[in-house]
Amino acid sequence: MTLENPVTYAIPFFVILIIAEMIFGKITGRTRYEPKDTATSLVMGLGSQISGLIFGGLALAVGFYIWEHARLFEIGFTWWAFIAAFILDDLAYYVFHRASHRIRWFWAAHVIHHSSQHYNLSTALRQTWTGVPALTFIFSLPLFLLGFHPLMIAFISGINLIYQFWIHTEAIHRMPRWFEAIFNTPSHHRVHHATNPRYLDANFAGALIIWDRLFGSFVSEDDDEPCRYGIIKQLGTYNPLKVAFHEWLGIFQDIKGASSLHQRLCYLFAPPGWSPDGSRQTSDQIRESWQQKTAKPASDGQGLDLTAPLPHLPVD
Amino acid sequence: MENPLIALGALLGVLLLIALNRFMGGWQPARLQSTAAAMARYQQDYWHDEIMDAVVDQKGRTALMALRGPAVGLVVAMGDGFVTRRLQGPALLSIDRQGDGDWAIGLRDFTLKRALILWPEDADQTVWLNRLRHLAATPQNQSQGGAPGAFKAHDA
Repeated sequence: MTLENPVTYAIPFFVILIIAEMIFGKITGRTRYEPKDTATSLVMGLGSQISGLIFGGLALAVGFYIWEHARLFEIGFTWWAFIAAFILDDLAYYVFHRASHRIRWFWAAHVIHHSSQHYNLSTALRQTWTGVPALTFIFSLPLFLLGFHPLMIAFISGINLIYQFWIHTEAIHRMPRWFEAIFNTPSHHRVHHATNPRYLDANFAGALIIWDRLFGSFVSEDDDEPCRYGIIKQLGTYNPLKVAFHEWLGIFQDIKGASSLHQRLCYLFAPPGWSPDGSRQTSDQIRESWQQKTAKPASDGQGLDLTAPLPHLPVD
Repeated sequence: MENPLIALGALLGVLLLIALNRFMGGWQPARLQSTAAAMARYQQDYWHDEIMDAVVDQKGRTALMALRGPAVGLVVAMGDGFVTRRLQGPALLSIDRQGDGDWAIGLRDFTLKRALILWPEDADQTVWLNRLRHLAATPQNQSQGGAPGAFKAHDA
């Protein structure tokens, strides 16, 4: 059985939908496109496809090796196998994605996708060039071990990636409640791309939001707190090469200046923002600092903020 | 992408989208309208910093903030948004001064190499130059990168 890469064939539809969203944004003002940002996102997307051509074979070869020599079950190309593969691949994606935000090595590859201050359909195409060299495919290896055919997983991963395209938009406010409960949606994913402290490191889902609900990483979008997009230290460049490699360079420089093996390992594998002297902040530290700032003093033990201005009382 | 026609189509699609985005407009270059706006933007990202003084350049592209402690805040317009930085000593590389009030502040920052500032007429450039010189001479923590003492100020 041969399965084509579905992403390749989805590209024309991506283009059409981006044009539609641009026009929608022009009419309603609800989505923002800025030419240089759009260009960077699209060039990153093209580069990611080229990188896939160069390195993708390695991931597939490892998958084939495990599948041929160590698979536990015989799973053919049946309809139920595709459904099971979709669910388990989505779980693997959740683990990969969470690791990509919590381990700097993987973050260095993934940060590219978060590096735009815009959130539109072109942002969906802003993809990494260094995913395979960073070995991010290891999160899919258990699927081959179970017995899912590597081509099936490659196909299903493509479908998952296509699903994730449409959720990168501000044009859709909320989907129906039942849909928001099960699937990843624009609202859930806006939170994921936001740098507001309360939204940091949340909603890692690919297609199914159930994994975030299950593993405690779900945060719902608060209409009173609009998302601010990008990364903690926003990039000051549109140069695709700098966008692609800035975090890798940061790791290299940090390791070069480190004074012990422990520091070197932490610069590689600790959460992004880790530093030996605490002069930078991880997302946990940022959130904690924000919570301290916004916490209301409960000096009377009743949760009342005695420093707050008195409410205005209407007088008849 | 295995098919050259699809690759060509993707490339044309990218060019079409960029041209369309440029043609349709719908975005404004970001500008800082006042020091209050600059401070508010800075404190979105660095809410724990206390700002003692601030200045916005004539074109509204850049703002500098004197902070309590050995750091200077920076807000730079980029496209229709802003980029902020909390600068500590080694982050500053140079100041190139051209003419009366045109500065290019060189930064040790891979993605933000410099900030341009055209000083408003009422701003005291000497005070800010001294602040930046003083900051550049301040030893910093290990993970700030670079070494103090590398800072240069040039008059063109």
